[in-house]
Amino acid sequence: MITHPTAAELVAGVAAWMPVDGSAPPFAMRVARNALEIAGRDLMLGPDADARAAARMRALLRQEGTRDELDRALVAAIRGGTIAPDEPALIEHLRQCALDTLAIDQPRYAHQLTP
Amino acid sequence: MTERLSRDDIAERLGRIAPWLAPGAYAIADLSRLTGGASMETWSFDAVTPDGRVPLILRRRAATPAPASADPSAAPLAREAEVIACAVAAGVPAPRIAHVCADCDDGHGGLGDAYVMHRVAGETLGKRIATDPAFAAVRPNLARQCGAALARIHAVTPPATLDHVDAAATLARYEATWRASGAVRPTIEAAFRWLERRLPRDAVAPRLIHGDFRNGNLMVDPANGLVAVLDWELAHVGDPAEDLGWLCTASWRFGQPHRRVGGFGDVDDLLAGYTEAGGEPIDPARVEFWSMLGSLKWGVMTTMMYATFAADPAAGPERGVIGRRLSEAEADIVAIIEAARQ
Repeated sequence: MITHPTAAELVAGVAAWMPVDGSAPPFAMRVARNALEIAGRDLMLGPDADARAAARMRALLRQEGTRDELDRALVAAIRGGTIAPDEPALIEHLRQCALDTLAIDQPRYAHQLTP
Repeated sequence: MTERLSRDDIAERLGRIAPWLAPGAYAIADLSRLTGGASMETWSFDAVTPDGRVPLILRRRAATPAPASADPSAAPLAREAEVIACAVAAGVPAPRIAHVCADCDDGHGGLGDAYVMHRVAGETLGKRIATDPAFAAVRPNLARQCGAALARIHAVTPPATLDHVDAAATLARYEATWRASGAVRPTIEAAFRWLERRLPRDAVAPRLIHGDFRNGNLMVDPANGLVAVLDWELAHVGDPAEDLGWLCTASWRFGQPHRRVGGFGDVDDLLAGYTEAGGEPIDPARVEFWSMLGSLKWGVMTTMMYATFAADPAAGPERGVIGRRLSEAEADIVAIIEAARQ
């Protein structure tokens, strides 16, 4: 999942910012609510999405590891040219990653991925 | 160096230079701030003349420059004003420049790095331009109008002070920024490599490029369509397809992904408007290349927004939330790679 920011950083950021005297304008309150909604969906959906991504990468790279380790290995393979950027198996993995991250971060985004 | 000025300071200094802003002007009125980022301020006001009021805009650099990483292409405002004046002279719909305030200019108002331009009426909110019924009548012609405006921009002889930044240099600049962020994202890595394979093999004739020509920086009138191209801060010299590709970048379609031009029009109309106004025909594949680079740029920018949030979380979560819009850029990148394979 996206770690810049992590769900924990989003929650801590809202807490560090939130004025307790009622002085926050409605726009800023809406942004804060959005941040907490993203963090909430991340906590709920993130672990399963990470497990699915790791399983796909184990098959793609034929190696073991955590999601983070496998992401690093996949970046190295794409950067080094071992896997072409439009290799169908890679694109299928990235497509599912994109659908999973959108479900957490921007569920209403009008994307053009095949569902 | 530009000072931090209060509203009253600015009103007083604009009043002093009123005679240079409009013929016969002896005062200014109704000064109000429109936008204020960390680096740039925009103010609306009127010059008062015996014959009536002249609506104007002041653009001015605020006291502290933005962090160097935020915007490597940011140029002094005098240069921006020069580019706009050249574009207007070439028939581009853009605000006419009324006055350029040079730096260290005691005789010209003490406003620092700033200029004054004529205020144009119209809508700039991208969502309204793409979806509001008030613009239904002008939407069908808007992509063609954008094509014509771009052809005229690209025909301008660029001021000698502008940097030349081609596709390879743009890609290298964003890859360096991305590496420095330390983020690990296979989709972003694939986008860099996909673009690298498609860099133009032949030299592209360099042209004046607006650099931020997208829905959101266009002023649209419900009766006349495109009336002004705004935000010339990123103007440079480069590949003309860059401007068309950025206008078509998926991040600026405001919920209308099938209307590839800004969420309001079609690529065929954009290209037709471009050639009808004298632009050299552009291969749609080059527009596609720059649209992919546009989505990649937006993805890299969201990570830079996150870095600002991480450095000062108490400033509020807005930039942290923008960090999570990387998901949108990645979805758009994968959709482009998928579509290119079919």
